[in-house]
Amino acid sequence: MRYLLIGNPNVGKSSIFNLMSESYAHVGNYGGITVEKKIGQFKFGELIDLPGTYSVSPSSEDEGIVTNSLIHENYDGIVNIVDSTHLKRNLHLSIQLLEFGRPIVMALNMMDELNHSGKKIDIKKLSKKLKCHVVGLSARTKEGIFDLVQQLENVGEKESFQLYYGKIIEEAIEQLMGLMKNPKNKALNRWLAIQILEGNHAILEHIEVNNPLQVELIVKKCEAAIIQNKVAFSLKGAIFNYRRDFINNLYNECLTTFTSLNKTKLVNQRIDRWITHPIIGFFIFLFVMFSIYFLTFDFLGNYISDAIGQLFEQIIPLAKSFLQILGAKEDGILMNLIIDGVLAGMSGVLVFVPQIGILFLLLAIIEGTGYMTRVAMMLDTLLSKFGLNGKSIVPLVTGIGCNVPAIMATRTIADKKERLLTILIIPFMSCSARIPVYGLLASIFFEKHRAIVILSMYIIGTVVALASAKILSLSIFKNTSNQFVLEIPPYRIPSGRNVFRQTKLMLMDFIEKAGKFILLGTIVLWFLQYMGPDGIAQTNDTSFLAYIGNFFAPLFQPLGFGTWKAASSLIVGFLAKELIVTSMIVIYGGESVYAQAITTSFMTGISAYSFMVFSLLYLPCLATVGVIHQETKSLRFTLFAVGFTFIIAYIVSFIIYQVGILFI
Amino acid sequence: MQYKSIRDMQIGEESKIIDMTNMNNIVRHRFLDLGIAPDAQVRLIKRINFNQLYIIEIDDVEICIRQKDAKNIIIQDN
Ligand SMILES: Nc1nc2c(ncn2[C@@H]2O[C@H](COP(=O)(O)OP(=O)(O)O)[C@@H](O)[C@H]2O)c(=O)[nH]1
Repeated sequence: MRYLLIGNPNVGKSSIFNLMSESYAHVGNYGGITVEKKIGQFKFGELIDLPGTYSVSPSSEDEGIVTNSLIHENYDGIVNIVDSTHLKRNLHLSIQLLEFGRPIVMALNMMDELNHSGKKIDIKKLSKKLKCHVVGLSARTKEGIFDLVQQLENVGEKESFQLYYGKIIEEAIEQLMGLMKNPKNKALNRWLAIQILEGNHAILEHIEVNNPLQVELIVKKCEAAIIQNKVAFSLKGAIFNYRRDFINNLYNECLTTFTSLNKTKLVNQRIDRWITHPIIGFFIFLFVMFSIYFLTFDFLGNYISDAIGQLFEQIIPLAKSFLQILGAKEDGILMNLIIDGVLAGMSGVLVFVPQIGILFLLLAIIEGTGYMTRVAMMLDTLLSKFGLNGKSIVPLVTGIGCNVPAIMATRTIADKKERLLTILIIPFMSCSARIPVYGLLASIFFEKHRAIVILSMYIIGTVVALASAKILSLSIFKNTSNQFVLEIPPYRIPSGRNVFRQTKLMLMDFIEKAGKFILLGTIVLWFLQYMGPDGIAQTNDTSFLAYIGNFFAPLFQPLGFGTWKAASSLIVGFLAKELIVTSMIVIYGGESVYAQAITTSFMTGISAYSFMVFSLLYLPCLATVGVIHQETKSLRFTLFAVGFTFIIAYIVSFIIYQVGILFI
Repeated sequence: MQYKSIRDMQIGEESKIIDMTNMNNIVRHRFLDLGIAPDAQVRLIKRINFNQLYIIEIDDVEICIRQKDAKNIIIQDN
């Protein structure tokens, strides 16, 4: 059995998904389109998590996924997650799902909050009125989860639910139903007709009708009649009104209020007075960002990373003697490959896993509190000056963790141009894969000012991102529609389970990627520098890698690092930015001597700094390029993104190096 | 006649939305999905970002909109 989880944003969908699914199964593609979807296993089958949406009729990319899945996905029933504290708003989506006619269970989440606010829902009555199974539950206290699982087991075909939309609209529905290709399925056809009238244009991409022109005509005539008869100002508005009347009646019948004192609201508004204050709020935001930063890099992260580094130092001699026991020669090729190639390269990246884990953890906590919504509001006015939108801040902050989910998170931005613009600047946000580069070079060249130097990378990244957005919004991305509307969820204490799970997922992703890419990359890299055109390279200056690197090196001369070694690590770094460090360690002679070799090769701190800046900005990694293409479905745009970042990186590093050497 | 919009409301004031036809279609549909529609009861909670953003409450949900949209949501003058 397979079930779709559908609900408004912020209703606790992920919490319920996490609670119910015993094992987080896999990430696959939605039927028809290639977007990642989450599938969880539970007792009686599979749960498919869909992005939160306010309506089946999509107004952003995210919401299109829901329409698509309803029609094309293979499933046995729908679980509609409803926030019981915001019943009136949530039920609009529920009605659209009920009209669809597939088996459905409605899960009223947040029952604990509802009870706190002094209200109670008559679930039996609601279930009767809506002709579907209704379960009250709370993902927080876990109450009712068992009931929901129980209901899912025996969810069957349901009694059809119909709402009457008044004479004018009903007539149009009849006419549209007559045009459907498959006349048998009455409920589905009625639903399709209503969706078309509502302005769900996306639906027409999924179904075939007998006469598309006729469809358009019917919609136009219906809309005109609605306006002429003063039913409403628009067709969608009229449909909305009928639903709202129904919902209001339902609400009055099924909901009783004991006390009307809503304490949470008062507390919320009191907190918001500070958080969204134009000046204090901004400083709070900076403070939060710096706290994340220092927790990750200075206080906690460094200690754990150092410990892991020491662990590797213990392991390497052990591995060496182990290999010797197996019969490998001291200076043989195998020994060289494993010790100086694979192990050294892996350790260079793995020592940063704790820091990256802490970063993911902190980001997940902050996301869980509802704080990011406030940040989006607070920064909207500022960001709109750069052609962006308050909502861009969530992807941008996510980009500090990893650019790939950040680019996927832009789906919530409704305006196409603002979304593309956000996608273009995300690669400038310094993701966790760049941490090893900073960590390595900063500890060699800027031992005393490590934290400040690394911090400056984040600042440069952000400034470059904003400046590019400004330039692009004045040239290529003019005239965005500029829409911004945001629901403000109440503050909540993030649930430990959700936070833990999200962190674990992202971290596992990172390690898996690191494992695959880096292991493979290191081996290839090692061979390239071990072999040369004349067989085994005598020194690595005559290796294949040196030839490739030498070809590009002059390009980087004006930036201060025109050596083949630097050039080839940058080339390899395109696969994954972690590989920059891995390749440096391999190229500069493996575990024991690389630090000194790097020092002599870069000569000065300023060229090392320029190299760090260049690594930060120069190209999105392969995975990011892949996801940019997947999300924009445009090769031209993807190539533009690659070229654009490269040019910007070149210019910025050039300025830093050239100005820098004047002072040294 | 001078229409009154959300922009002209006092903090804490409550009123009914009567017209949104000044907005473009896409934006209006988006607003509708969030419950911002004619006949809805709306309350202004506060203005933030130097009056650039308006926080309103409809059906117990707090929603943040921009000033230029607030200007286009006409309310009953009572
Ligand atoms: N009080 C309470 N909070 C909940 C409940 N379910 C979820 N939450 C919280 O609501 C917030 C949003 O939940 P999430 O699962 O991320 O919602 P989604 O956006 O729909 O996936 C989180 O802070 C949750 O901890 C519940 O039943 N009661």
